[in-house]
Amino acid sequence: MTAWRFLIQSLRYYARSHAGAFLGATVASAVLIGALVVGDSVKGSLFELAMSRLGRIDTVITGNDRLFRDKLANEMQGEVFEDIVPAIQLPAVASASDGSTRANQTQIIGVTSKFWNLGLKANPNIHPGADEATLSQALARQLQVSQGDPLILRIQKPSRISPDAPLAPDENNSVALRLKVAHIVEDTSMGRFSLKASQLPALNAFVDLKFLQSELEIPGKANLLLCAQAADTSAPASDGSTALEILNKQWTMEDSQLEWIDLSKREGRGLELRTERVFMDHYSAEAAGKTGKESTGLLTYFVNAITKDDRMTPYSMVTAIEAPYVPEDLQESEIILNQWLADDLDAKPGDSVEMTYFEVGLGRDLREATTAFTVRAIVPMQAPYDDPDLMPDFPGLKEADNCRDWDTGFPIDLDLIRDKDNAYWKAHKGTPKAFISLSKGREIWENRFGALTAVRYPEITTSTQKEALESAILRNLKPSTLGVMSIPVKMQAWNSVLQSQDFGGLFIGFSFFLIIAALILMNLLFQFVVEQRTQESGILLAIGMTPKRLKQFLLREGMLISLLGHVAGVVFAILYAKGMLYGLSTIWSDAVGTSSLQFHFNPATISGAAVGSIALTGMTLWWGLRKQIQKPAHVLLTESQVEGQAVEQAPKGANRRFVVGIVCGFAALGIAAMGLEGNPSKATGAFFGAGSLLLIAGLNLASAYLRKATDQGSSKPPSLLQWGIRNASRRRKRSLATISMLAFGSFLVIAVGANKLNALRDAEKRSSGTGGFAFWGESTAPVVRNLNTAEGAEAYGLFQDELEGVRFVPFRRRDGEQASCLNLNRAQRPQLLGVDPETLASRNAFTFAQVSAEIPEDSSAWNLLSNNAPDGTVPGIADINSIMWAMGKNVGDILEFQNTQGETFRVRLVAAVANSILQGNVIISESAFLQHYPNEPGYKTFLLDAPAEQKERVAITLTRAMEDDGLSLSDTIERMRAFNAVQNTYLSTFQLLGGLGMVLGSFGLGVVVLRNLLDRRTELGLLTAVGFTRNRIRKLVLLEHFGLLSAGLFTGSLSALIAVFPSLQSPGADIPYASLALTLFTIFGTGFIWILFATQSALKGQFLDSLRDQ
Amino acid sequence: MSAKEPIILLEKVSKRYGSSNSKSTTNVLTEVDLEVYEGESMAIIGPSGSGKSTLLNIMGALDTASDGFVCIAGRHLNEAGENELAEFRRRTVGFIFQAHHLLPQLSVMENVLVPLLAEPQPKGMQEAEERGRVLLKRVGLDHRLDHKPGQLSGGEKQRAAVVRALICKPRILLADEPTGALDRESSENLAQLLMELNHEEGLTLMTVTHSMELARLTGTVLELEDGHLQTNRAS
Repeated sequence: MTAWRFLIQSLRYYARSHAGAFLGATVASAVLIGALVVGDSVKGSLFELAMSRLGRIDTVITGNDRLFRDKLANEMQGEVFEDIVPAIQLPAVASASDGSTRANQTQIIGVTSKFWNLGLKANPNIHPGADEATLSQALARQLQVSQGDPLILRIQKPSRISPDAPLAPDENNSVALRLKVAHIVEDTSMGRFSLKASQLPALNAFVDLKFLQSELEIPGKANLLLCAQAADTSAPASDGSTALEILNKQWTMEDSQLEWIDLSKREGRGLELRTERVFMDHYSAEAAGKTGKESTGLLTYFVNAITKDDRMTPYSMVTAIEAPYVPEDLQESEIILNQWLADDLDAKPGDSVEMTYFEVGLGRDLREATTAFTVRAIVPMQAPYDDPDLMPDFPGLKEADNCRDWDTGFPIDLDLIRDKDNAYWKAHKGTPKAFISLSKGREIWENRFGALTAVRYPEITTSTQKEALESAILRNLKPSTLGVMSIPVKMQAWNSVLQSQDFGGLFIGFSFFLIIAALILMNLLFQFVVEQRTQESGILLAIGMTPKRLKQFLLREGMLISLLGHVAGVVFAILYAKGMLYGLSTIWSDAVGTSSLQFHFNPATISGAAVGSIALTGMTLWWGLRKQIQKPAHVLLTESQVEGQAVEQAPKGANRRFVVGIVCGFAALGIAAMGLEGNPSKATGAFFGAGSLLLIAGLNLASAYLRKATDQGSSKPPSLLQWGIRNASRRRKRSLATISMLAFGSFLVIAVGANKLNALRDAEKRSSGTGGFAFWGESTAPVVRNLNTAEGAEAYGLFQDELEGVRFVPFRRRDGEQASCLNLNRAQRPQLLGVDPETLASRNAFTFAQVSAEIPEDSSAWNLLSNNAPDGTVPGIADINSIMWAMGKNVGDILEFQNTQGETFRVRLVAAVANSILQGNVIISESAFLQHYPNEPGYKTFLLDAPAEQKERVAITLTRAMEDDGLSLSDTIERMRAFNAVQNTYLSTFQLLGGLGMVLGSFGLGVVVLRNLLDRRTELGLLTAVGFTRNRIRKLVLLEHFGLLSAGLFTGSLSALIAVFPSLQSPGADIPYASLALTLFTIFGTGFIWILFATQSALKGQFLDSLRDQ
Repeated sequence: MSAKEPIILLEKVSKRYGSSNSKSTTNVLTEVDLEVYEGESMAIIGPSGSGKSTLLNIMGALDTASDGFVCIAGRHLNEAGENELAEFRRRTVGFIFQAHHLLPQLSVMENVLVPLLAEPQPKGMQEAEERGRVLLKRVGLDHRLDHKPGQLSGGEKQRAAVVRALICKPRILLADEPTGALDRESSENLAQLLMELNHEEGLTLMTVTHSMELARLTGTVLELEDGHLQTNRAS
């Protein structure tokens, strides 16, 4: 006889009694382990998607808006990376040739045949030829095209000069390619290629790199270098710095878009350094000035007019330059005119002239400004002043033979151009007509694109000197400062998966009540078995076993049941996980946006979860046994001899519980009242607190009532109801556990279910999640015009009457990953939007859930975006859901971004917008945006106001007019609905699993009924003996237990209604009254059925036999 | 302990239920004095509710006295902690109850050996098994070793319970109405067995009983009435 044998014998003997506890352990472990398997599967699927998205690519070097030599790939290859493949990636609008289908967010990717070897499944045979495209499955699906079908791709040509830059030509920069679908590439063969972490498949059109270069007129150029590891490596190789180091070694002047002009060819001396981008960015200019060689910076600008009195010379170049071109002591108020201009204006030294020019505003907004100068000198039309090279290569100007052929990005009044102006242009081209000091020029013309148009080196005359100068410049000019970035895409992909939405935790949360119900059930049923064995406990204590050792024996037995339950639980966990994954891929797919979730079995997770779950059940059993076996052996032995005598000790503390209940009840009412009066943003918390307190109050009052009922007695016979209540009080803890479980369950199901959101409600209000806007717009090509002006609209062929009542709030956009609940991955580079805060503040758009600072009543939290911190930290605003869930941050936290110069800048989240269509983005002020991304052209995201009755017409007009720019407009209600669908789907999942938990809980109630009645069979026998009919006994039993069911559901439901009161009042709330009522009805109905079933089972047979047994 | 020292010594032992200043206090035992010497057999009789079982429970460390001094086999039980009391019950006393309280899941032999499991580190299992066999043979159950309690008659169950009480070689055997649930013949047999054990094993036997036949077999009969020990007389 050993303890082990004792355990086995006990287990065998009480096997039937233990079936319930076994079931509880099975359910609890299946749900708990299953939830973690769901988490593993989602993570595993995301990991697979990330691997198929990137293949062997570890690091990507991107030029952003810069193009570099594609030969860099060959030059860099071999040192660290096995393969480096050049590519051009550009946004495009794809459409079927008949225009029936369209994909605005397409990426056209020019690749070499080597690219196809980077995939998990190498497939070089799918490389497209000229006039051909290989499509990703997702794009082919969206366009409904197959192999051999034609399609049209419209691409924005990369421009040397930002479309926002002054004097940028106003030409349509897009090119349309009519291609044939050569192949449709599988996801695993790089079809999913994308630099953004998302579970959504990319819309990719792959073309041959050389073909694309030729079509875009950028031969030999690329904007991406894909650095790949060896085939058998899946771990990230670098953090991006390695690729950048290799790039630094191979980087050339050409890659920096810098070029030399030999000045000796035109009566000058030395070399001039200029940039294809017209304005030399600050870093290039700084590097050019730090060579140790003598150099002169210059800034040539196009001015609208130079006037003296009533004479005016239109449209001239003016150069701001240093000595020796101008006198050392040239004052900022002084100007030097060339002879031609002096003659034209009839000006002489000492005269006053005025110069009118455009100042660069936001976007292409140009403001005319005028500055007065005093003529210092007149210079002859000869070297060094008669120098057309002083004008940079303004596109649209340089090639023009005639002033009337100028193609500038701003309006030119051709009527002002005289024959003599044309003659000057023909003879001298862009030779400046006037000179001012460089410091004055920078003061009035410096813009975010640069402060110089060229740097001249008069002393550099030999090729050796030139090479030395180039080396000196390149030493100080790193690609990263020019906006070339090295992105460790594989590392980011890993991080985005590792930090992705924890579906394991999410499903544990969803299944929380189911797990709790299963644990309570397991515990309750195990306790019943322990109570059934009171005699055994008594005798074991009597023969000298300590209560502690006895509890150990029982705990071991319970643990063994739990262990067996877990064996079955693991099997059911797999089924549960598969069921949940099926749900996520089908009925709940709104929450994940993909059907690509695959089951992933990780033995480590399962064994870890099983150990955790066993520990949890162990703790539950220990907790239950804690209060067992407190009675002495002789009491247990006495109780065991008479059924139903194990009445709980007359309880104390009824008054205390009554007081606690009353205090909590009043506190709940007080907090609720404060919530009604106070700040609406805090009302949610206040009411939830009040509801929770009311729940505690209800349970305390129920406990006090049951305690009181235990002591009650009277000389009059009780009514059937009173009797039922007193019966319930006999097993007070059992009754209270039943009420608590039902109350907590109904509280959770209602409180959570009531948070469902309705995108439609109050959508027209500014305070709603739509901000009161009609459309959310996104364009593929940047919109550089102000669409709110007649001129801006006309540039797109739109007329004022077509846009009546339509107003745009434009956002600049730095493409990044969607930091929203629609992206399962944790966004590593969230998308950044820049907006003029006033456009939103003046509309009082959206509601703020949290604000980090006090806002004056007449102001808006949007104005916080204008308050840049002294340390350069940029204030940012995002949606509360994006902040909390997609980024894992809080208001007040700092996000880090990389700007164009490769520098890290900090964005502090100063406010959070309540559930809105802004999800997925971080919003900063437009000025801060341009400070960090000066070359990011135009606007690509829009919020649109439109008259409700005109919405459809406006949408058709705009999308048609801006078709080539890939403008897609989505109804804000639909966008809100898509975001809400995630939360609503999660809530439905919770409701379903919570409801299942409640059904399990009601099964527990049935078990309690059965157990109560079995305990009292003798009593029932007595009632029969004194003349009670079976029906009357049934009525008594049903009254008692329906009381428990009703008390639990009523307490939980009432408390939940208080807790969710703000949601009931909330504009966006969509209380699913029907499904909640159905859930509660199901719970009540199931409870009713279990009570009836248990009562019927227990009341079978002859009670008198029980009496006779005594 | 010298031969003259009582194995059971109770001085002014009282037992109350309810708090001392409550109106609902029930005095079960009132200042009971008792001395029992090793090897004696004694019966406690009295009407229901007179405190017989309570007195027996106090002697067996199943219950504690509200007042008074309790010293059993040299152990001062008033001051003992829970673990000490459990050890005392394991080593010093054996209990027989009106109901046999055999564990239904175990065989007769296993039931007999259950007390050894009470030890945190059970020792001498083989020796105990041998002793169990001898005792079961002694009570006529050697053919029922592997039977479950459900397969035994009432008398057999109670005899198995007696063997269980003796397995750890207690010095005192406490029996609470051991024949209460048995028929006449089984009662007589059990009473006979208990007295034989008292004589042969030198056990001190204290039994609570309503059976005058059993009481008469013991050396001394004590009578309790309303918690007062009325009589201390030789049978």
